Amino acid sequence: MKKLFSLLLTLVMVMGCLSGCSSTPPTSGEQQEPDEAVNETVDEAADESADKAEDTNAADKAAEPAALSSDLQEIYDKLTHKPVENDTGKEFKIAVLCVMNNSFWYDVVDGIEEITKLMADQAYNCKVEMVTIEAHDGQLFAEAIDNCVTMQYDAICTVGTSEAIIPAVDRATAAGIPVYTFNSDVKESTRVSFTGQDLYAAGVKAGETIVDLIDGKGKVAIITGYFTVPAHEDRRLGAMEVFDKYDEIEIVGEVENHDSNDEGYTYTKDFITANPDLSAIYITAGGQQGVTKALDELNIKGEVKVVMFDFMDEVIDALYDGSIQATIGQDPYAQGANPVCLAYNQLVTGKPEIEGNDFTNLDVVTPDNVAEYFPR
Amino acid sequence: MEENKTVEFKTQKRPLIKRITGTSEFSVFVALLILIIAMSFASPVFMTPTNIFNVLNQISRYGIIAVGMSLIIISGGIDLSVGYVVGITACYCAYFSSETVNMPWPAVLIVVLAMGALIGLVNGLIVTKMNIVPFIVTLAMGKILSGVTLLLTQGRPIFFNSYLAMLGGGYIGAVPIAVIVMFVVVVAGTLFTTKILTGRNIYAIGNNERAATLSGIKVNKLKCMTYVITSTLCALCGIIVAGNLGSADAALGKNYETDVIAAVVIGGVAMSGGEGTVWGSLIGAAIMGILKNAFVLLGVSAYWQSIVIGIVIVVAVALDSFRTASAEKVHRENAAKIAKETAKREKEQENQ
Repeated sequence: MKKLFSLLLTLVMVMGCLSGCSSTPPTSGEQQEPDEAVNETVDEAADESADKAEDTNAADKAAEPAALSSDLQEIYDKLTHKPVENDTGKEFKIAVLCVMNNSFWYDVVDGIEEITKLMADQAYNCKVEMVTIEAHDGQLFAEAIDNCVTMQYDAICTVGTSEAIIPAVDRATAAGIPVYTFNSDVKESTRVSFTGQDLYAAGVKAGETIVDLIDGKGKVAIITGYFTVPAHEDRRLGAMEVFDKYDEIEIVGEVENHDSNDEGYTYTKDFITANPDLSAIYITAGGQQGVTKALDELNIKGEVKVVMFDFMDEVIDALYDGSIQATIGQDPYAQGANPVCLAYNQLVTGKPEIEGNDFTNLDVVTPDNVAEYFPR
Repeated sequence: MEENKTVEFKTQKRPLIKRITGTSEFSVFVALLILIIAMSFASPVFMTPTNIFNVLNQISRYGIIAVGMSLIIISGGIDLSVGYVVGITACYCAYFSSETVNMPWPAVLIVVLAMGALIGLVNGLIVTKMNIVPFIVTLAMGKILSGVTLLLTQGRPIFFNSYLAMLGGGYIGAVPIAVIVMFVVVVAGTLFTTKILTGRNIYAIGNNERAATLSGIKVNKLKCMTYVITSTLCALCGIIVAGNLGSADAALGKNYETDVIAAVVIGGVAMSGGEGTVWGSLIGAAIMGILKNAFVLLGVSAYWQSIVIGIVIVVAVALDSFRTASAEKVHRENAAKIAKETAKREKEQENQ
């Protein structure tokens, strides 16, 4: 019996090795209505800093394809980058590697799923397959990228979760498979472009927002997701650059909560216990709900200023009830859709539409303007 | 009739104070006291009631699971799925209590605890009936549970509002209910392992499984029971954690097994089985909890936290090994003394 079970287990593991990237996209739970947020950039300082290689061929070809159905037309109209018509006669295959460890990623997946639907139209003839990775683990992402190369995808879009994936990205590029990153970037790799927030600028913006809220003095605690995720580090370091200019601002601690509400809750309580006169908490990544829960329990809503990122439901609720003072968006829908569109356009035209950075909007939402962005 | 000669051994009639100070739990308890005293001087807020109850609340989740993990490790096993059981039961607790399902809270409590027990039963049966090492079985189970949790939550937190939340977020006076639950579980676990024959038999299994079998102990049944108890306690912890936050998501419980095993080892439970106490594991959990609290109160860089915890674990295990080696040395000396006395008596008899 034991031998039979061991044999079965071995067979399952071998089949798992062979299956590689070919997993079907996860079925979503509740479908969120795409937010009709205003896409005006509030902060004019967050300019795109990278070179853009403009492809005149792509610009010429970016005409709307004929006869899209109404729902596909709706998706097409939402995109900030438009896909060109596929006149190569080839069917393309693009892999999208995404992590799903908190509710932020739901909006990213929304973008990926909608572009997948659009790309499946005969005008584009492109198959988009999403691979879900269980955690921000560079090793897991690197292995997935290598598997996608083996599976001969034409392009790969991935979260630049850590520098550990750089060799895998470079191998894919050397194999002729362009790689696009989103949400978090690996600048030192051969990736074509990055779609996401100007993360360092976002950190600077968050730092400036906190400085305004606490009048340039007081104790600040920083809760980051992972020290190893470039996106989280850029946001943290961007804010630190601002805080370093103020002698009267004291950083009482920098901890990583692994995007966990549970750890965020525990750390918030400990920070406030250790520093009853704490002025602000800055959260660079996930675990926002744990922080607001702790503040709510301690009945100090509004006394400790909280600045965080993203526009999940629980964050908007916290804005409305005054638990947090500002949140900075990063357009997760565009992070899901844009890299696929850019990768597809490169496959069709043979040239990348954008090289470098494709920064998404840096909207700052506060209790004063939350009703404009998310009316209730 | 010959006079019965008694041979005095070092371990006979040891003074009470020596019996207490000779246990590994005592040395860990002393370490805890030193840590508390040091922190009292290092941070003015450490001994405030707010911080004490915060720390106890944080310890409670590891402390509850550590009771079960102690039983498993004492019996010679291991369970790497505890964190994942916490995660899945927390998510199902939130799901059943949410507006989508809206089950009454007593039903949710029973169903979630039963879910934990069932997971433990599956673990135990695979370990005992199929004779597969617990490390592999529970590791695989953890992965399965992680996937099921993601399927349920789809990566999103599940919010709920239920009386069950009181277990995690409620207070009796200034004392968190979770802390009271932890102490009840620890007392129950201590009584089980010291006063009840079934609990004592777990030590026999850990010491020598074959001898335990030959002496009539139902080894497989008891081993299975330890997994059921542990996973049920994990389910209880899942309810507490979900109640504390008012929500549950797939990240809950991640890496709990590392901290729980560390707490159990620091508390004096031997990884080889057969030794250790439930209340020792509580002391181990307290040390881990106070260390993590200390890092924030003293502003220690997060980069150093893992290093310090790792060093504490190694030192605790090393001290325990040293104490075990010393005890074994005493046993060997006693055995040699008995053999020498016996040989001397036999020679005297021959000469007579």
